Amino acid sequence: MTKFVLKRLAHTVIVLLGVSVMVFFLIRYLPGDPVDLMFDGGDDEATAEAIAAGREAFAEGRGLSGSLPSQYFNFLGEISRGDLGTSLFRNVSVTTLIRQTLPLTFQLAVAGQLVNMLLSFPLGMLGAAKQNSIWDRGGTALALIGTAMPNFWQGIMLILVFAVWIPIFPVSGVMDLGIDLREVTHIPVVDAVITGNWAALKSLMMHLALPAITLGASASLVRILRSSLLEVKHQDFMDAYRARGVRERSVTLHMLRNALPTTVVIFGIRLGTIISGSVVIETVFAYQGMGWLLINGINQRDYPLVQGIVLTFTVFTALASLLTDIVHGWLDPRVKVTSSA
Amino acid sequence: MTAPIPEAADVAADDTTRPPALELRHLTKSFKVGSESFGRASRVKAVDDVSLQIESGTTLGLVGESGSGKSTIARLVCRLLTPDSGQVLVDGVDVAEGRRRSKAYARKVQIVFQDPTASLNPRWKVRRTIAEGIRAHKLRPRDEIDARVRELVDLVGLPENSLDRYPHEFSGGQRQRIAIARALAVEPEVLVLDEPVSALDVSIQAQILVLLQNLQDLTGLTYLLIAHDLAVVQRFCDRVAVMRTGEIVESGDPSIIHSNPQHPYTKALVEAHPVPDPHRRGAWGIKSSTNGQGSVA
Repeated sequence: MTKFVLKRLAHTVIVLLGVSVMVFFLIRYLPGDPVDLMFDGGDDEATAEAIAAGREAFAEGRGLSGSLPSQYFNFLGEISRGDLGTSLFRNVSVTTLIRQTLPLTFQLAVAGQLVNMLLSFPLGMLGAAKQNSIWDRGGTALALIGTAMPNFWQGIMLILVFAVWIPIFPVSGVMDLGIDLREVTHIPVVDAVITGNWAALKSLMMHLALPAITLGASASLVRILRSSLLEVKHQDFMDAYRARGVRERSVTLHMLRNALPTTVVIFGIRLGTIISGSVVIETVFAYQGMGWLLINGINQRDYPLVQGIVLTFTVFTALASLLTDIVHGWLDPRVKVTSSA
Repeated sequence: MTAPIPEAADVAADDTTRPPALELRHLTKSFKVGSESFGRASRVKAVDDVSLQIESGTTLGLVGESGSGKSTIARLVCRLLTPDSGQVLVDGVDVAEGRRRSKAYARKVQIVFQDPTASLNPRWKVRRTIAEGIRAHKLRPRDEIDARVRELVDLVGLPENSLDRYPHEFSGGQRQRIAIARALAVEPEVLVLDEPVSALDVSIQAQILVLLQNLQDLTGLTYLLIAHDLAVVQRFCDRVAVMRTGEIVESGDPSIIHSNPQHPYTKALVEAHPVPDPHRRGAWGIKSSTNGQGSVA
């Protein structure tokens, strides 16, 4: 088991290396130069020289001078020391920015998955219990629509209906301004609960509602859960329980336990998509999480920021898949988690 | 060793007064096929007015091709399906009255499925699989359950260290032994064996059949054996019933069916049975009493 985890972590390092190459060169390949952007608008003759000097100093200080490969190896050297560099435009270290925004993205992702599960489990179980009934068809259709609908559009529609026409929820943001929340864990919702700050909690929840619904409304697990339940439902060992006089309710529980591994694996595989999905959602709702920060960074050609966030996403996706494998092995005794896997 | 059913010896004594261990009366079950929305839905009679009797402590073999309704009968007998009409009586009592699947009924009739890979919960260790029936029916006080499980494992010829292993760690034959132990844990009177050996290697089949035979000698269990292998049926059964399209076309002593099949379908079934020895082709079975017909399948 330890060997397995270590091996997977080594794989992750290799993946990170590949991703770092991709992100480093691709972002630089994009038209537009941060130094140009920074020193734009100076066609005043008198200052031209000063600008040129400033440019050079800036490029030098931010590791943007020299050849691309040498810049890349400098960057590698820095991240190996745990330094993701400094944001070109915010003048704050990327690590600090990530530390500020990651908890917000995390709480949004969790909330979105809660919505997803609250929809998927009842619909999936109902569909499996009453196969081909109106409930089953309805649930499957709903899941299909949810998956097919682009979620940015869904988000905009939700804002239009529930924030503009019927103003129940706020249009954007993380929390109302002017609420003071003491930071403990840096995850706002958790902090609000720990410190008993109910006004903050309410505001946070109201702001989370629409983006979380947008993320989770695809009910992406409905069809997986339904089909894995149906697969188990007709297995002989389910009939064996029934034949021994086990009540149908308990049989259903056994069914769920046996259908869970597949669902968990699919969920784990999707975790990566969920994180990248939050990029779009956060932009639509101006929710200042890591995805929102990434889009800003790309627009400003803030190289270190984009690199840092993409690498963070990669680490989380890799960890999610590692965790999925471990949980799968624990849920299904036929799966052995070994280092050769 | 505790025999699940103690009356093995009594059976012969009051055979005449005792009602059959299992009796089916005019059992009928049909299924809907096709889709209603396309207006092609129709009903197929899987089991059509079937009546059968099995004396206590004996084995009835039910043979027939796929789709003849054998397995439907197995499921009807175990109450996994509800019959459209007709009765299933155990010891002369229609236990189906009232609730669809009562615990009391499950106590009397148990089933061993064809494929032990599918019939054992892959997430449960053997100990739990076997103990579950004892626990569900409260057959032993809590602290005696483990001893009883060990006894059952021993009874079906599994090593004691099997208890803490998962089904996938066993061979097919061993898994079927687990399935048998699980059925016996409930201490039933009737055991429905739905093709219990057809998923196994031929060499393993004999071992399982011998085990079942020994268990019957020991405990006086009544078997309803569903099979399509005529050799198995001839070796193992006291009586045979041949099914086709939901009806019983012929029944009687296995050797009579073999040597003098009355119904053309039985004849076809017998003739279709491959015989490994070319000199005896056309005859049937291992212990063949060749009737010299020489018809080649």
